[in-house]
Amino acid sequence: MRIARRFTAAALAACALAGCMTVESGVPPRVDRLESLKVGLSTPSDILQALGEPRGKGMSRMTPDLPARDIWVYEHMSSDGKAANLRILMVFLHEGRYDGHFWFGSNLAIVQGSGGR
Amino acid sequence: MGSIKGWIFVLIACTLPGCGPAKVSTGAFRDTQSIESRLQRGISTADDVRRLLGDPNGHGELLLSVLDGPRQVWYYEDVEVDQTAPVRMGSSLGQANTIYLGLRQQILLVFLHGGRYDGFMWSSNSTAATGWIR
Repeated sequence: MRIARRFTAAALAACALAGCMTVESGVPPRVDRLESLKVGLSTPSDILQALGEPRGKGMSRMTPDLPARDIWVYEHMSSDGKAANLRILMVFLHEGRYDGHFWFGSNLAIVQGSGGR
Repeated sequence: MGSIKGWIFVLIACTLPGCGPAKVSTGAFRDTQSIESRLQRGISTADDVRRLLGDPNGHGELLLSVLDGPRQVWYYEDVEVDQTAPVRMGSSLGQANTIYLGLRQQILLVFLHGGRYDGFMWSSNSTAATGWIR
């Protein structure tokens, strides 16, 4: 049983490397839904409703005179063994309200994503 | 014995076409100083950026309340799987065979505002990469 499991794991890894399957991490961020969010007005509940649960959280202070902002991070990576597609969305929150966003990604990821601009 | 079969399978698979080091790249862009010297903020156009760096292989958007409008983002990536190796890892779930992937990755984001160059952000996970620090 243990040997069979090892063989299966090795076969799957080899298959991924050979390009016969796609390895994915995360869910494509729904950047098409950012338009529903209003700077200074939308709440964390609104963000959850529009974008779902983030994969991670963080904080940024871009310049000394700007207050720190909370960041919610959404990311998606996929690879077929030949190419990697990355897409990252960061949502900024200031005093518990939506304050903006920052997203970028490869064109293929955008095409394959769930409705990017 | 089964484990040996597994590694043989990996080795065979790695000799197949398409299993070489995976690479996605718009080319190296280590010389960030040339971006600063050849592109002028608020003056250089999107075409100037394209002439210097080529076509981006992605895009995005930056919007922040303190900015005077959204920034268009052009995404350049230089990603390469430069090392693969089988490793055996122990975990709370037991032992598992894992393929280690060494990934060299550079990302350059160029910001445009109103069709003009507005700045850039560059990062690399390679210790050999050298950015230009003012």
